[in-house]
Amino acid sequence: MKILHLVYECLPGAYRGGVQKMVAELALAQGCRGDEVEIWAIGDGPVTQLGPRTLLRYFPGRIRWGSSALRQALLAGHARFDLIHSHNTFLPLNVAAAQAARRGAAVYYHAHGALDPQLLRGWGPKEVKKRLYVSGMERRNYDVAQGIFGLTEAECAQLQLVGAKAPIFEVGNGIVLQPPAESLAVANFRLVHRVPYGGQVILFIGRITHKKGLHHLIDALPRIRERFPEALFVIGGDREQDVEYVRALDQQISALGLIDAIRWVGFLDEVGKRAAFASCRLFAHPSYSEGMALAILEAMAAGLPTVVTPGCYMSAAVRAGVLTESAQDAGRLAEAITALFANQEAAARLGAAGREYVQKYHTWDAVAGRLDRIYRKEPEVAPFIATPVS
Amino acid sequence: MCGIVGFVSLRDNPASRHLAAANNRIAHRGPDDSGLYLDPRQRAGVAMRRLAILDLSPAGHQPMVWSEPEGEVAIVFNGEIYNYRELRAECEIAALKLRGVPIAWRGTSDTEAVLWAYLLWGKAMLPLLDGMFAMGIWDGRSGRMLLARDRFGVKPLYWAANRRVFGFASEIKALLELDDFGRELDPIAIGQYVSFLYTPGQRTMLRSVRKLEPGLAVEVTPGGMEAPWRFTRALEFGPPDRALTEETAADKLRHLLKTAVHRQMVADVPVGAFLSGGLDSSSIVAFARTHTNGSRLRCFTFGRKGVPEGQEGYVADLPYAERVAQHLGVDLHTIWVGPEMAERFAWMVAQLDEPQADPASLNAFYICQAAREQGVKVLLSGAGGDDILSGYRRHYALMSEPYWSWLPDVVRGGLRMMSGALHRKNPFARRLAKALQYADWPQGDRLISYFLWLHPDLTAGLLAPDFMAGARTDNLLAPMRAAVAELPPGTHPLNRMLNLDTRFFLADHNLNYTDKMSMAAGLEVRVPLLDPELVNFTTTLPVDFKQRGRTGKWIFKKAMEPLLPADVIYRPKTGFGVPLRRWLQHELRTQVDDTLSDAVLRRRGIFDPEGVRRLIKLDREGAVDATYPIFALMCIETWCRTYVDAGIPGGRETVFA
Repeated sequence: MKILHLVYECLPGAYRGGVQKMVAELALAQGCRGDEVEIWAIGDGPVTQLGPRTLLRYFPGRIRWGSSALRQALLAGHARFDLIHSHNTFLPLNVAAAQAARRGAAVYYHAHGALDPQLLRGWGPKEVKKRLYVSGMERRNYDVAQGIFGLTEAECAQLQLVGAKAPIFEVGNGIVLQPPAESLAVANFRLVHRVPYGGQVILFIGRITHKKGLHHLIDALPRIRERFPEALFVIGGDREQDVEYVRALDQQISALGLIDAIRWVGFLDEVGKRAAFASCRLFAHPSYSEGMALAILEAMAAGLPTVVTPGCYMSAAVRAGVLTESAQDAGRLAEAITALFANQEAAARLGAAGREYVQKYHTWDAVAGRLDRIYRKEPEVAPFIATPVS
Repeated sequence: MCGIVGFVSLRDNPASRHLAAANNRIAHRGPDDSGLYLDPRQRAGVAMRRLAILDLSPAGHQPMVWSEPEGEVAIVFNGEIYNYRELRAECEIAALKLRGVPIAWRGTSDTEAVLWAYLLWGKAMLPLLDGMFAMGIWDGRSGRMLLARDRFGVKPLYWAANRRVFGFASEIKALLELDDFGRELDPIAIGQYVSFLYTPGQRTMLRSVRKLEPGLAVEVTPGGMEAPWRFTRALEFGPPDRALTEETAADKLRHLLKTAVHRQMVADVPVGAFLSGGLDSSSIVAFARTHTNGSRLRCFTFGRKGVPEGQEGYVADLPYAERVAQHLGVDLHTIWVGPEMAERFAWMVAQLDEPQADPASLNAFYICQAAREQGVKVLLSGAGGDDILSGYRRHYALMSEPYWSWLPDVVRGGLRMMSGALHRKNPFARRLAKALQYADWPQGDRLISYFLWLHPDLTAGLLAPDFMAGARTDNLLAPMRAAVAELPPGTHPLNRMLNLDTRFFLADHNLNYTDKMSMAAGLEVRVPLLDPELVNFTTTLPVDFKQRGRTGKWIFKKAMEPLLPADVIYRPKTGFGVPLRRWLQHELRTQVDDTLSDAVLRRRGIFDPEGVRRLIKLDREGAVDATYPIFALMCIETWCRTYVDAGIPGGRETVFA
């Protein structure tokens, strides 16, 4: 198939934000499967061959206002492609894709967690604006699409509430499976950050913002340490993204006397992440709301038993029994984590099952395969039908 | 803690025949054991003297050699690795993974852990090491010698090469015994000694001998020395951590220091501590005292005989040390020193390897000697606190730096000229004059000027033109200029200065004399304030957490408020020195005149007698403050007598004149 991905920005090697990275990795996986793939993005740069049968083209413009050059090229050249896959919720490139759809192009939209119910809830100006945009603009785009993709069941349900005519499909995120970390990198991580080998070490990797709910995990730690006094909590992420929140976490840590139990390891690159996964015993993600967090998938792929909260929207994996879901509450989190520390066999089983699950459903190759079946409208890939909301 | 020495034969020359003699030259560094290894093909050799601190059994013997089918690997290691237990655990995991067999450990020493880390990961293992060290690893498999020195330069490592041999050693004395590397003096280094009282960077008094700078490693093959590389940096400043509050930063700092002190108390021998009654040593003692397995921590300080309070800005340390000892419940031993210590200055210079003009070195020696006599083999020191957390007067003075750039050049030039009119006998006038005499320098050089004891123009006037023979005195500042230029643009001036402090003043001055003097007493000094995690944390602190108004080490002081009396924390800063100004003008006046007489200077040929006479005169008149540079001239002359005239230095007891 000839596939065109539209994305607001794509800077290989310097991705800002998850969507860019995901689009590039998905496109590469499709190229490897034999599709002819192009990514069109706003920006400035030469045509770049990202991988086999995968090209990246830039068009001048601004992310927020779109690119008239890209729009014109799209309207003039959409017939070269079998389908257009647009990844630009709340941005003008989705409108351009809809215009192409009205001229006969097969267009699919990928919401990438932007319509996560948690993000649209409430009466703040941002939330209200988003809801108005969705009902007034994004729904019209979706009406002319061949399909809309939500990352999780929760997001699919939200998309259904938008009331668009197009069918909705659940298409989760993918990851690139990584080889195990080098022994030197692991030793370096453990020695530099003073993480003991084989200890009860909990890992979190992600943006350090209030939405991630880290304060619940920190509250849980004293209870975990009642049973496992040496338990540690390793936090990987940039302390600068939400300074007020980090300050509150620091104060919480001081007040609870946990300075010696917390390791702030900073932003982790790919090598650092692999070393962190190899150094810790358990991954925890106590988020209020996620699209589908790559860090969770990566931790599972690394074989770490993983504890999530309902806001992570990993219900399919929870049903499959490959990760532990806990209420977003210090007591419950402590219970879930302590149980896994106490039962190493169960933890190992959970880790292995998680790895297998990710290898089966959440590699980019698996995601590309599912998308291929959707694009081809194969009957066994049924659209999402939400449980009626009372 | 030991002394090491070794060589690589260059271009198929025969092996050095003097390795054992060179090793004996540093016997004071390791009274407990010695050993020597020669490569079976005579390509290289390493030797060491051991001061046994960890694993006192014969299993800790060095050089430690491991045989592989492709050749032998031999290590000589001077220092301590504080994370050696964790390193051993990592080696065990990696050995199973990479070699498929468990490690058959011979003993429990940190050196064996380093050896295995090298066997498993090669030179890439260097960043894993948390500790103070200088080491040489001869890898017979590849025919390469790896040399490395720790992040801050706590342990010394010198090297020299000629056409036949590349040599390295913990001390210059051993290097000079190892082979004939030449004893030609380095005019730039001498200019630096006079200007800074030490040589910043890689130079030493001898053209042929260089220091391996802190945080650097280098490989040497029979073909020669390869380019050194930096495996770690003393301070790496990023943007300040805006999330830190005063309370959380103080909490974290206190926790990190406690952890560092406890980690550095690992030893199989008794551990004590320096205790001057200042913030740094008192804080270390506050944490160390709870980690002594029930016995009272033994602390050591010195008292100065017959020095009145207020002289040369002198504030007695002893009452504070006694107060802290009582407050914390530790034993305090006082060593009394007076002007008679001047008789040992020549010995001090010989022992230091470099003519460092700081009598504080002797105080350190006397304390180490007393501690050793009492069976203490390790002392914890507060060195480094001022350099990472802003504890010197120059850091406060620096806070006015932005205002200088507002002044037009002509005004700054006028201020510089005004500085000559200030009388230097008054401490305030002396400091003001020092600040003003560099008023018209560019900003980067002004930063460096805070480290100068003598204006480079005056230094140039002291050096004999024939001796300089084309050497340019503007190179005196070169290593510091290069270090300033390496920092990212936008680095705050205080952080720039702390970088210079740790790279040069700490490494080439404080840590050098601390190592040489403690080793002369057969004792190891450890520096918990240079713990990597603690230092990394200080680099994330906002500048005003370090220097707030006149208060240096502000956050450190806040952190220690729960543990130390306020009058100790907020006491005026004093040095670790002696009333040298008074001594040179009274007790040591004759020795100054004799050591720096026209005849002596003319015979030596380094200094212009007329220039020196003028400097001494100006100093005695109070027109310039040149006490320490004059003392440096005496030290250089003394050093030359020991290292140049007398052949191989033997640490013999000589006195000035």
